[in-house]
Amino acid sequence: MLTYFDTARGSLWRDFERFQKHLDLLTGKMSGSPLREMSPGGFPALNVTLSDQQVDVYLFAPGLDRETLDATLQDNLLTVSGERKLPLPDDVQVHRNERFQGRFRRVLSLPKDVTSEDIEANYRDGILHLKIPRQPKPQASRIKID
Amino acid sequence: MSTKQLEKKEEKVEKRPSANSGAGSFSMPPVTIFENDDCVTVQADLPGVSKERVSLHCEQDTLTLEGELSVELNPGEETTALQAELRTPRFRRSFLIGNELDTQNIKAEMADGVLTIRIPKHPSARPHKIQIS
Repeated sequence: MLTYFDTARGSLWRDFERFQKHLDLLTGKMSGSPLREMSPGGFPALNVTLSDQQVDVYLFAPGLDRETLDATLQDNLLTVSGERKLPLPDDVQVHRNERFQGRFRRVLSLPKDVTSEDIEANYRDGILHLKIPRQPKPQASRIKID
Repeated sequence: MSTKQLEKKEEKVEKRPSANSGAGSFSMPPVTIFENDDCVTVQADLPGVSKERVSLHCEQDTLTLEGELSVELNPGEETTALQAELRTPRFRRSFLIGNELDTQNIKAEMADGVLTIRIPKHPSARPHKIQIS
């Protein structure tokens, strides 16, 4: 870590920026939160994996009210929102209430080649899984040289 | 030991929440705990854990819940992770159970990734009227 602060080579500020980027990567913050996002307390957790054929989006959100779930894809911007009410019975004494409740909205920039056709989505065991296909890349064409 | 001491004591019993994923590391699921006259209820968020992958066991005075994700978190060779906010596939949390709780009759159910545990109180521990003759 000390190698980040190499003042002999250049501005100290640049080194701090690199250090911060490295920390962000370590803590899993790969891209800044989009402005439109409302994700208080980091709920739900989001994992996104990418392959040549598709993008898999996982939202870890147990106990959601299914009717409140909404997912839309506009160009390559994916917005998922929902609500978790978590009603408590009356006349109980609450000792701990750590689980997030209320509305949430997460916004994600996907690769530009995603297509809104044939998107699969399901909510099972508390995970909302969206499978968004990507347009296949056109084959490279060989150029014939005379 | 009263059930209020549940929360204070559990900090000593359970493992520290882990920040990185390695073999044998767990993350602590958030819980809601409340009680009424009849029982204490614990609800834990265990996303992606199916009923078969949850284990709940009681040893002496410690109740431990454990669960394992049925979704593969680490991408394979042909996939890259764009974002990975959840990294540990295993959850675990322990609680100290007071004597007034009837651990033989614990009921638990799993739905949509939420584990609900109901621990009844022994009849003698429930509030009851005392007759004055």
